[in-house]
Amino acid sequence: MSALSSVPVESLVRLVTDAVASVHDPEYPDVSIADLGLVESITVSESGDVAAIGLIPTFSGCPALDMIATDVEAAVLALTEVQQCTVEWLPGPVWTNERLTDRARTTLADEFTVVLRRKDGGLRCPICGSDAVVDQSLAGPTRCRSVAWCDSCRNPVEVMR
Amino acid sequence: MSLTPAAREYLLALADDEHMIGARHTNWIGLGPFLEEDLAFCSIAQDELGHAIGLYELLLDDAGTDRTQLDAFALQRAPGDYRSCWLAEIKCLDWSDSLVRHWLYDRAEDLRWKALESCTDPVVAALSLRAQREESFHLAHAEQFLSRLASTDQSARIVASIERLMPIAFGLFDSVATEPDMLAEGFITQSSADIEALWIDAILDDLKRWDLDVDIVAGPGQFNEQRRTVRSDGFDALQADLLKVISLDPIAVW
Repeated sequence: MSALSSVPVESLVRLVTDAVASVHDPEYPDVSIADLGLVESITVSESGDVAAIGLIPTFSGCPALDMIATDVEAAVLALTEVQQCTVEWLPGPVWTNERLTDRARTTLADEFTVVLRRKDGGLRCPICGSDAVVDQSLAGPTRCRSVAWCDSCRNPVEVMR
Repeated sequence: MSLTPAAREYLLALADDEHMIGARHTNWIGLGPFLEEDLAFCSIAQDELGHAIGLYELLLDDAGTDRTQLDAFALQRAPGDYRSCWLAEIKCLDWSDSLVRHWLYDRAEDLRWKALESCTDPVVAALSLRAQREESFHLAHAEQFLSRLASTDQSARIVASIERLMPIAFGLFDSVATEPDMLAEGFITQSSADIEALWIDAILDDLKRWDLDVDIVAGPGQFNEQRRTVRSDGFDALQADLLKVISLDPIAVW
């Protein structure tokens, strides 16, 4: 017997989508992987009990990929309606920081002092609001961040690249 | 299986190059000349290993082999079954050599991935776009470092590294035996010789911009010239190093 086959597939997709979004990035404990733009596809089988999640990495070298995939699988399988779940890191499309939602941008700036570069190339300090932020190193503590420095409040600032 | 044997051989060469250069770059973890550089070089290594994993997974999927065999495939083949070039394999004990190798390698890698951008295999084409984005960061790193060093009293050391490594670097363009079939099949549109010509132009442009005077010469006998089937002298030790942890408990799942 298929589990809860009376639940429409659309509702299941919504449930699975919420479950995937409940997974936070290991590097940013308050930021959902959905808000980071890592979720590319979510499908649920016609029978309603098999979910397939397609994710894309920020950078090929991100060491957190296995951990994220395991977390997603566990979150989806925690739904009683879903019996099977596959999680795949897709070869494309290419992730860019434009995929970040406004919510992710706000949390990253407020809680992690991580900002995005403006279209004009400039950076604004998330601590004091100054534009006197200069690039310091292309490589930061994770693959997706570089390091800058605020000349005004003299704090390090990280940039989602 | 959708990839032809010719295509598999071609992609394996790129994958093995990415694997070996990534592994060699990691030798500098904790030893980089300063903290930021340690992080930067480690980041580049992670990307190269990521590229290798993407290609290895594609090859495993295509052969119908489970992805759990990735480590075995990446690490435990017989040396003659690898297709890496010597530039990626050799041990660079000198920081200047490692930095120069990174530049020579990434200039070529960028062009090699670009040549796969319109590949008939959609997975390869997608991996190409991601790799190119990452290569732009790697090349920016090489530019920032070498352009600065070239104008200091260390420029002679950089030049010596270039002269030492350039002859070996030409082995990057030693094509696998199946390349003519790949071109005939339309899987790729640029030969290794075409990419080599673009690479020489790019290298010469860089040297001119950095005001470094170096002769660009291929060194006969300094790379295997046998369609990538022969390994460099230190390969056995490198493979033994890479297998060290896995050999502690061969049946463990990592």
